[in-house]
Amino acid sequence: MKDMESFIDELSARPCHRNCGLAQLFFTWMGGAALYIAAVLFLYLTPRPDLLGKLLSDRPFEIEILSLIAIIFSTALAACAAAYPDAQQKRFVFFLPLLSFAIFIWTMFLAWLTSAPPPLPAWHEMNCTLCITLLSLPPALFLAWQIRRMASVRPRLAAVNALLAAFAIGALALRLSEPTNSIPHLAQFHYLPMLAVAAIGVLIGQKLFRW
Amino acid sequence: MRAAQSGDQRAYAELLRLSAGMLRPYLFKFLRSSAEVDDVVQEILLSIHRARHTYDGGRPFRPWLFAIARFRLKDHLRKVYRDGLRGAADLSEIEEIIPAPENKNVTEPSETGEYVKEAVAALPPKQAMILKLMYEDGLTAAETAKRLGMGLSAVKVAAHRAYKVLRKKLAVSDEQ
Repeated sequence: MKDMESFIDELSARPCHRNCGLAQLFFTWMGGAALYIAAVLFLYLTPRPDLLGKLLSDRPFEIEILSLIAIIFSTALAACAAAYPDAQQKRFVFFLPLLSFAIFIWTMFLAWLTSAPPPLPAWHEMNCTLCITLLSLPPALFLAWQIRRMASVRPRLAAVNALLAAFAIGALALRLSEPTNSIPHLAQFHYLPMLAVAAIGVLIGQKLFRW
Repeated sequence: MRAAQSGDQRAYAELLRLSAGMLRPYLFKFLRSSAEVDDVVQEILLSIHRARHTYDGGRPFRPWLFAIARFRLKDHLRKVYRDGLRGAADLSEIEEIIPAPENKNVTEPSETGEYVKEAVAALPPKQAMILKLMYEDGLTAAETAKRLGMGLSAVKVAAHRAYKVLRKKLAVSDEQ
C-alpha cells in the first residue's frame, strides 16, 4: 500500500461526483415506475373491462390495489434507503414494507373468505407468474442500476426490497388487466411467488450490489 | 464534508486525514498489526471517496463514516478468514516446505520423519492429532472432523495454526 499522506493527496485531487439524495433516487424510480405501469397497461396489455366499476364499487378490490401500491412505495423506499451507507439512521423505512404486507395479507384473507369464483384452466396459472416476472424485469433492472451507483452497506436488504418493488409493479399491472377474481389463484400465482423473489434477493444481493 | 462535496480539495484532504485518525483506534480493536490497520484504513478512505456523493449534508458525518468502515472491515475479515482456510486446505505444502537439513540426503526418510515427528509432538495435543490424521494417515479434513467429532471449519483452522507453528519451528531448527 502507498504512503498514507500521498494516498490522501491523490484521492483529494480526484473529481467529485454530483450529490444524489434519497428523495431524488426514490422519486426518479417511482416516476419511471408510474410511466411504465401506464405504458404497459395501455399499450401492451389492456385494462380489464370492469376496471372502473370495480375501482368505484368493489371495496376489497380497491383495498387490494391500494395495498399493492403501498407495497410498491414502501419496498422501493426501503430499497433506495438501503442504498446509502447511513441507512440505519432511517430505520423506520425498513419497517414500512412489513406494515404494507400485513395490510395486504389481511385484505387477501378477507377477500378469500367472501369469494367463491369458478376454477381457472391449468394453462392460465403459470402464465400469470411468467407474465408478472417478465413485466417486473425492466423496473428491477432500472432500480438495480440506480442502487449500484450508490454505496449500499446492506446489499441483501436493498436487493430484496428492490425485487419486491419490481415484482409488485408486475403484479399490479396484471391485476388491472386480467379479469380474474379467484383469490386462491391470485394468492398462489400472482402473490406467493413474491416469496421466491425475496429469496432470490437474499441470494444475489451481496454480489449484485458489491462496490 | 459539505465543503468537500462542493469541490474544496483542501477541505477534502483534511477530512480524509481526520477520518483516518478516527478509524485507527477503532480498527486496532479488531486487527493485529499496524500494517494491516493501515491497509484497511486506505481501503476505507477509498470507499469514502467512492461513496461521497451518498452523504447527506443534513445528517451527522460519523454514522456515515463508521457504517462504511464496518462494512469494509467485515469484508477484510471475511477475506482473511477465507484465505486462512485456503491455506489450511493445502496441507500437502508441508512436505515441500519442510527443509531438508544441510549435508543430509533428502532421500533418508527415517531422519526427515524423525525431524517432523519431534516438531509435531511439541504441538498442542489436538493440533498434533489433527496433523497426524491428515498428514500421516492421509485423511481428508472432512474425515478428520468426523473422526474427532469437530466441525470442518474448526479442523481446518486448527490444522492451519499447527501448520504455521510447525513451519516456524522447523525453520528455526534449520537455522540452528
